[in-house]
Amino acid sequence: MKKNVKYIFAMLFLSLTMAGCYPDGPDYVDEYDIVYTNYDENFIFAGKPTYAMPDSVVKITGAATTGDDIEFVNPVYANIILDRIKANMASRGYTLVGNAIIADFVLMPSAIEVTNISYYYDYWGYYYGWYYPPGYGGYYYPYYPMVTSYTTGSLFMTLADNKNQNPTGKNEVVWLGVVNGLLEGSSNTNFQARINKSIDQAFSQSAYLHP
Amino acid sequence: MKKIVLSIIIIAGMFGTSAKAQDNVYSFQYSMGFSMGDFNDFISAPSFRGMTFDYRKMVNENVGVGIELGWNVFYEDKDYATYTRETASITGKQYRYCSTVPMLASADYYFAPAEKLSPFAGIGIGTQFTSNEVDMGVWAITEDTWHFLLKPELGVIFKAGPEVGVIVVAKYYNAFKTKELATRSYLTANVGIAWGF
Repeated sequence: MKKNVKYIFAMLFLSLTMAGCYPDGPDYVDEYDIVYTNYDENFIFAGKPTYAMPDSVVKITGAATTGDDIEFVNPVYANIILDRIKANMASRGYTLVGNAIIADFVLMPSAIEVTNISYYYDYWGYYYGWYYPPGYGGYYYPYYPMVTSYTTGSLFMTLADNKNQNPTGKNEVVWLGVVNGLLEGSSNTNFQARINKSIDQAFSQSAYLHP
Repeated sequence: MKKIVLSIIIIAGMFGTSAKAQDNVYSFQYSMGFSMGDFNDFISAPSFRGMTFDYRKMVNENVGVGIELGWNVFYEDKDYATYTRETASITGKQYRYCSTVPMLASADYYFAPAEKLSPFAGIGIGTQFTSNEVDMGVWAITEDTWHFLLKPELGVIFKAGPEVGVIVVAKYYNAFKTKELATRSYLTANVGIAWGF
């Protein structure tokens, strides 16, 4: 009996220490937002003050590879994105020109939406056993896995050198900015605040980007 | 590293359950961890999630040898910040996790084994399994590795009854650098129940 009491104590102690053993993660959708930038360190940005940019944002889908018509991001969202890019480029001293041939750079915004589906057996699944009536058994994993899905969106801002082409006739991308985040649980106003903050961040972490 | 794990298992097997209670000291401890050195640069927040199981077989009046199995989870969320490597910069909120499972063969010296308050000092050698994770956005970078581990400890057992007591112990897990990860060393303050004696 004495031995049993000790084991009960030990198990109680074990349960208490196990309780709440998994640390926190993000609470809000904007805490998933990340901004990535990269550039060609050998490229000289100075002395090249003009750029051209399309008036829509290309939506990356299978269509581009299968030869179908190119899709575009809904103008309501595209305009938010384009306006913020223009504002940042202007504040860096760049001038937007309508003629893509004479521009020093072409800034090409594009976006992709990806839905991820994941499933898992809940780690704490065996707790479900506790809720079954006595004699029913217990310590079972649930029969079905938990299924979750989430949609992420990425905005790509590619700045290509419009004056030089490589031997295959392609323009080099000299700066890349990528904004990635969850597209769920966020109102339109919130979306605008998040995308604006992330575009601003892409520019602010790219101090070399000025003519 | 496999040899160390094997040694621990062999030692555990050597001191099976047939020994008399008076020859053994068992304990379950709640463990708080405080990262040190490179580990502190990665996660500076203390860990309040941890536990340790200790077993010692008394080979003479003052010396006990045995095994130890522990577990600690360290976690810290960093502020929204920019991390730059060469020409690439990435900004976001980082969530850093590190779970450690130390497994050791240990030996303790009990200074006053017959007293109600029994202080002891010991050393341990073994391995530490470390699972390291950095979450940023919807992405996660995970690194699992085995560290070579040395551990000095200092503690005291307060014998509340004939075979049961309270144990308070400080341990320093010196987990050496591996190819995958920097050192993951930390100090723990443990409190728990001990029985046997």
